[in-house]
Amino acid sequence: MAVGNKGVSVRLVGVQKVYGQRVVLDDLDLRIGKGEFIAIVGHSGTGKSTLLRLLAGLEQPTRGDVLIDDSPVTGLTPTARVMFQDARLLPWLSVFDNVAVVLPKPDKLQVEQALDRVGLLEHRHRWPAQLSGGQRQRVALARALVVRPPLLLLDEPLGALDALTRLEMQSLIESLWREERFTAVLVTHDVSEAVRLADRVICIADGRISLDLEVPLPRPRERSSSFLRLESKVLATILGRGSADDNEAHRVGSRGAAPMEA
Amino acid sequence: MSRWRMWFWNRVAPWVLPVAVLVIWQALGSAGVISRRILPTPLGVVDAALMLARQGVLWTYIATSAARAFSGFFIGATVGFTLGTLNGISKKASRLLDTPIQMIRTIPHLALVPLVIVWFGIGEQAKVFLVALGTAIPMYMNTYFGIQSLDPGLLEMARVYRFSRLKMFGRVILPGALPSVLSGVRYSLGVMWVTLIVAETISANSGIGYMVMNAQEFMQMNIVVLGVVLYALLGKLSDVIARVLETRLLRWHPIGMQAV
Repeated sequence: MAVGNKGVSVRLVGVQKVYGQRVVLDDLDLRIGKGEFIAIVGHSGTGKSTLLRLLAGLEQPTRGDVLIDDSPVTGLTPTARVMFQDARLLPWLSVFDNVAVVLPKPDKLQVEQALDRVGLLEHRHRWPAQLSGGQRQRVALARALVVRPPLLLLDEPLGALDALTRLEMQSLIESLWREERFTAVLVTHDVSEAVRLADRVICIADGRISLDLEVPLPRPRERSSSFLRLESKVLATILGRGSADDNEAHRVGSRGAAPMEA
Repeated sequence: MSRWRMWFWNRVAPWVLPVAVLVIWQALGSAGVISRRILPTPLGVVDAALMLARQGVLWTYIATSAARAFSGFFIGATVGFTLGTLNGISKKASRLLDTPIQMIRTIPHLALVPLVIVWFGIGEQAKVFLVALGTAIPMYMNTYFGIQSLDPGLLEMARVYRFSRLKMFGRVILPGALPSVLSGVRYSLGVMWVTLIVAETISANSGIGYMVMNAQEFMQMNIVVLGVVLYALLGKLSDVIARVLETRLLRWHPIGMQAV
């Protein structure tokens, strides 16, 4: 298993993904630098999650290549760890064992460090059913990060959490990312989450990239006027309008969003 | 509610009616309203139990019946669990095996009694075979169902984390199917006693069923009723075993947690 502190670079070259008759991603090119934090936003069913699943190697592209550190991905991407919308903890294992189980050789210290980093060390003997939704996602985060993966893929991991917990989790993910410098790809419906966390926000519409926007704001980010300007720019792209002065809700597609897209 | 009342409703209330029935039954029997040829009194049943226990045959009969029941269950449960696991894990295996097993399932296994007697005679094998056949089916169904209804999200997670086949089975599939497997165990234990009772009543030369059939010939009604009581107690015992297994093994389960 490739494990290390430094992130990997990711490149998609002419990637197309077709499910039956439906073209989900079409001739997509994308470069992600080592240690970069990318957010992908867009309506449900635009292929955001598909893109993430291609990066994880859970799906193979119909055409084109996915390159991690310049070598093409075949099968599961060994350097990647995925955090899903639901925590997907094994209910029959304690918090500690849920993290330990993903290690080839269980290492008590390594597991405890990972749990400590997400602030759950004192809950290590609990069952997942005894935790709140936010705590469960933190265990999932510890599990994803315990091997210090070079690539972390986040598939709307905060979508099911309440607003306050979501803010806490955003700070946690940001601080862990700043400490460990893995490459991060976050799929989200929440535009302000994307602007808050990402170096670059990418919008996908009709299987193509419709916006690739740098977020040159210092961290940790506050909702300053430049923050809001970037946010409305992203929103305008998603909503397909030229004008950015729309007072629409900031969260796009949050209603009736399918948990897993095709 | 006062503590005394709580104690009464929780501990005493469930036993009020059964005890009342016993008392009335005994009173009617003692008064001669019910003929002892038709129904013995509760004390008569206790007498029969004490007499047979003193002779030592009671324990032999119970041990023989329990040995038949549990060896049949052990064989049946192992076969059912193995086939259920195999079909749950392998698509090819389930294509090959599920339909024939489902066909066998629709046959009431007790309908095979005449055939089994021809095959095995009236020896031990016949009874063990019937119990094994009867218990294998619910074990198979519940194991197979338990594996099929595993959360696909967890399986995908295990794939992303590159679980080995062994880890996948031991840490994801087996524990995930366990609640269903255990309800299979409980159901099978029920089938086990029913099958044994039928098999022993039809043909046996030892065991509780033999004791009952023998007593019936001599109109010893108190021993007949004793047999029924013994089956009830053994059935209750296996239910308790299943319950203990469930609370032990499913501590992680939100339902199990409340019970602990």
